[in-house]
Amino acid sequence: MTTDVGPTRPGLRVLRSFALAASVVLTSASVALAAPARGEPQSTGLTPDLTQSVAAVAPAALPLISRNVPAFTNNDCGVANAAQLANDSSYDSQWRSCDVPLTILTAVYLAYDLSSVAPANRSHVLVAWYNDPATLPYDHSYVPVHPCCVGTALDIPSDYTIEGNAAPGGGAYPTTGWVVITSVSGNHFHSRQHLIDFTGYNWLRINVTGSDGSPGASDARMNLDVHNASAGAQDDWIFFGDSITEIGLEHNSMSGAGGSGTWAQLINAANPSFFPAFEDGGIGGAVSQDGVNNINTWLALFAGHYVGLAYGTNDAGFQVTPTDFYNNYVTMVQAVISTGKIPVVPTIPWGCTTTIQQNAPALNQKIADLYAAYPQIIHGPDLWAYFQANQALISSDCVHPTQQGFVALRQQWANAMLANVYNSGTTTPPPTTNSVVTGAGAFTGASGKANFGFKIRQTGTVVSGHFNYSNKTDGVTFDCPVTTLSISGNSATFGSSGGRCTYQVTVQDIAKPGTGKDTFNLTSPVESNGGTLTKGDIAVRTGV
Amino acid sequence: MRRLLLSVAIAAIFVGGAVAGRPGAAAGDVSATGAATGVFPAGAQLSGVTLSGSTMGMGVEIHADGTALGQFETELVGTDILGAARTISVEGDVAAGSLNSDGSVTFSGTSTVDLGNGQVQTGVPFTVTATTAGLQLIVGATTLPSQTLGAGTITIQ
Repeated sequence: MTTDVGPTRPGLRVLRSFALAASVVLTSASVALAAPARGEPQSTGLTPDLTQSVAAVAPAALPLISRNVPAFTNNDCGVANAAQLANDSSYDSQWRSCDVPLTILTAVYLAYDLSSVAPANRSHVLVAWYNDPATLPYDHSYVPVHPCCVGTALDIPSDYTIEGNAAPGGGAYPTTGWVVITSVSGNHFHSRQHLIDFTGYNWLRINVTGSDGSPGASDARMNLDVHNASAGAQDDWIFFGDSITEIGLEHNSMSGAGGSGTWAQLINAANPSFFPAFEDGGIGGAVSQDGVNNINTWLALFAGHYVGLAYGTNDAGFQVTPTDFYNNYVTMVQAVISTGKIPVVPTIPWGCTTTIQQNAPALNQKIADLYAAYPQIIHGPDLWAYFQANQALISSDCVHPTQQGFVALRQQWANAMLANVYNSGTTTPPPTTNSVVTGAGAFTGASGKANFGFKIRQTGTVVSGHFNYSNKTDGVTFDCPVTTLSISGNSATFGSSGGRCTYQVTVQDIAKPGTGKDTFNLTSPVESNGGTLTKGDIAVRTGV
Repeated sequence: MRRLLLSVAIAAIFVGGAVAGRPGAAAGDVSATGAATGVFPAGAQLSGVTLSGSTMGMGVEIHADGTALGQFETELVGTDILGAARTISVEGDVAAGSLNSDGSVTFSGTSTVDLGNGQVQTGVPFTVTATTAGLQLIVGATTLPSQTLGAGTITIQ
């Protein structure tokens, strides 16, 4: 990261950190005074349970392959914000271009020479860039149901391409031969990720032609990681939530408060077999209804597997009823499951405002109910129990952890996932059984009415098949091979990468016939569309 | 009327261009996948419904031993004798199939036919012969006129 965080940043941090607290506290006037004294045990109605009730299987590793490889840029502000800062071991440093209006003519790039990585380990890669914590909220442009905070964009790449180059590595940056693998326009999220077919390339670059920023911060700034995704992108996470998540899971070390790394670095330090990719999906002031309102949009951008859902503090503050809170979570959990991903849900952190004390226990009971109703949920950390037992780690606003508390929260997230996911047994073995997934049908989604047909066969580790799609509404069609397949229970996710055929489809085989039951969800740079089948059926067959 | 409807046999022959055969495909598994719209020639009728077009999807794996698996789904769009819009849907499970010498594939199974007027028939046999440019559908004993593709694609490989 550049050390130039801008003059507004410290103030901004305070605003982000405490605006939520203000909104919550203000709803209860002198609540802090009426809150129970710290140290008084409060029941959550939950039995602390860091042991996953359902045996989870550790994901296939997603090794980080870009650490300290040769990095190049055409704009580093005179070495002040060098390209190497994007892939060194410190997430406290980022590559940043100088503040110039970014256009096609003034494009800035960050390029990595990956030729030192064995070709087999870079045939399929996950490219993830993280602008946070320069920009704090996951989506600065989103106005929560209960607006609380000002989200300021700092140097977010809004228009860019991810490109490959087959030029030999080990030398100078190639000025020609770049091939666009995927492109993005109009982005306003502070982090993005792209699962791409990188076969045949030695070099990777992000070429930025537009910025979503603010005065004095309208260039490009990021850390950029490349992971070996040849075994899939299972070890890829996103954590949605409010300001507690936003701050607690930023891509920084929090070394000033005693922290030792990002959440992924904590996982890696404890279990070197893994270095997960993760995005921080926290937005200050968000309630569970905000999650409901956005979950499908957010999931369409996320190529990974684990989805943290960490709401409730603000729900308690705004006195959302337990029933509404539960129903909101059900909607989010079902959305996650329907896309073949796994929800991860922690308890609401302990806090000492009256509204948290009065309302959060009932909401946490609903989370316990959710665990029972959806055994697919990975239990996140019991943040109520932890902060109740460590009340000195809650700040004076009675809502947010202190800086040391955020370090502890991050460690709690790491501990819980190490216990419930990474150290749960063996890693996901390569598929050894044969599977066939077929489907044909129709549905009406956000992008219109579409038909589809596909057949995928997996024999051992070899996946082959074909996918056809035709949207009658907008004319979008796919006629593409299937090169990847993962099956989880009755759900299957398949797709391919490269040019026009970059897509991912997740289907769920719920009933036969599938009309009104089975689901189909397509995500791609061209179109994202999905829904419950209005006609047709999907069959996920394993062990055939 | 009900008896008549229940006995309706639906068939359609969708004539497309010749399909280039996949070398060696006959010796192994063949897949037929598709998502497309189709266009009926004038005069196509089924159960009193004048058909104009369709949408369809297929995902089928055909084995060398003549067995097959997968799904076929189509919605046949038209108007009834009163001019009201009507959609007849056919949703089938595929059980058998073969690759033909001209590169087309034929697969068959049993289907559920929703006549779009409240009557639904189950266990109706159907057969589809598909090329990359069209397909031929037989349901029960009725053969519908051939249909060519509008938008979308059928892939045989």
